[in-house]
Amino acid sequence: MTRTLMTVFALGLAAAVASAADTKYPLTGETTKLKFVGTKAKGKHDGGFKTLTGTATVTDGNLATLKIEVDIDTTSIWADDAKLTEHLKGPDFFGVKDNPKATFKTTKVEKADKVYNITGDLTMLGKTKSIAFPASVSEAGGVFSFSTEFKIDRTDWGMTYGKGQIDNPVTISIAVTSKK
Amino acid sequence: MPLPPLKNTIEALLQDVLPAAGGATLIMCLFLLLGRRAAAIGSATAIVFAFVWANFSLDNSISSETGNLVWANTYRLLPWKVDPSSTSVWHSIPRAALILVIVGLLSRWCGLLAFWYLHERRLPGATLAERGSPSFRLWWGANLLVWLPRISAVFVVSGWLVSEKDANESPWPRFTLVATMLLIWFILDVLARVREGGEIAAYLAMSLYAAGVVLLFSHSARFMEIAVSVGSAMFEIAIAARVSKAYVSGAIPAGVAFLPGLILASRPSLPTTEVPAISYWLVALAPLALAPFLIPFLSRKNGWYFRLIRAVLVLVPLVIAVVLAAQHEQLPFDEE
Repeated sequence: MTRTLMTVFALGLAAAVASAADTKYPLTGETTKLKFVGTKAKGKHDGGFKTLTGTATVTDGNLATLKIEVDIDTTSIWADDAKLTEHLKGPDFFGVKDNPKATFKTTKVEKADKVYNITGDLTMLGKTKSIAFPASVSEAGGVFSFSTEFKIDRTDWGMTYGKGQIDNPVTISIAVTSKK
Repeated sequence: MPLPPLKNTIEALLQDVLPAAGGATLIMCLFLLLGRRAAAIGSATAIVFAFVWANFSLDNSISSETGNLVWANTYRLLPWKVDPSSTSVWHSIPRAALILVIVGLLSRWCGLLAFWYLHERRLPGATLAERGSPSFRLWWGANLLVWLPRISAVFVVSGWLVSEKDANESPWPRFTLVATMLLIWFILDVLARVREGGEIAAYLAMSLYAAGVVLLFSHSARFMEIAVSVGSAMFEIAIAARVSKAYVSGAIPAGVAFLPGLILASRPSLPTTEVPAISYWLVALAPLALAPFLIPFLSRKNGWYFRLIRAVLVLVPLVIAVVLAAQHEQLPFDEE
């Protein structure tokens, strides 16, 4: 009887330690605001994605261990103009019928002075490219916060339509506030 | 019907119409210098060269790692190299067109050679009238040599133009694509070979321009540009053939790949719009309106009255397709 109780206690302790070690924060369209700004010679357009799913995992409260995995539903793309939204869904840009999902997965996180340098693989239009960007990351009181703004070159993923008329660099901004 | 803004029209003219038309004219002129017999291979070369020229761009072609020019990145509208993992079947349209153009030329030469060889062996020195029924059988044999490779080629390339997912769900998308491509090829090829001049190439150009308009209403400027590029090249080939009274059946297979490829095979990739399905089908099947002219009695009728009838037969479904698209959807320019 004592041995059984000890075993149950040990298992419970192990489970408690494990759950305390890895803290997972859900990433959804509600907790994560993923936006972009596309620019051209005479103007700009704002847009983003409404639906995404994934997790941000922090081990032992150490933010340098941050792991992010997220699937972005490209069909949920929006823009500041309804017609532009439909155009962005087409083969000129995201081709959402052929590529309904984009993914991001961190491969390396390093602590810098005030920010963390995040490196990860971004897969869009069937192509995977490594990207790196600085981000402000914090975890306090069971709330995970993440914010960043950086640029990517859309043509790296084969989004080449409109070269010369639409700028290649696109500004991406991400803001996460998630509770475990 | 609202027209595209002038700025966009000028851009399409500079980026699509002029390079494609100029490239096709240049190559056609070079081949016609060799004589009218070179017009068929000249038209095939012209359509390929024109598309390559219109699709070429040096932007983003320099590798950031090595600093060298990367040929695969010099495309403007359609990738040169098809990524096997890509789910976008429209990437394969140029490859399909190239295969059909090559098979079209080779099969025609094989058929002509076989006909000539067998004919001479069986009844050397005799006229066609003197040879009677054996020549009819030889004619059929030669046609089999022409069309069996073409049917095989269409079957193979249709597999590239239908996604694995669609093919697994139903055999109909591939079946309809094969049937459409073969019918267009057969009708246009037969008609293009029995009458000199670029009349048939002109009908194909009209169909491709109409496809461009419908695709623009479908919010795909990229597909519109491809259709306009190929249509412009075809139009120039038609003019060159008209001026030189040459036969330009060599360019037809490119239209056989691009027209159904863009307007039917690529439909699953287009965003959801209000453009009715009938618009796409009317454009894709418009060349089939020339089918009555396969009847021997009508096939060699070439007066202005019959030309007008043929033009109207092709134009009517194209106009209906464009009007329907315009009634149900708006051009994307204004709001963007």
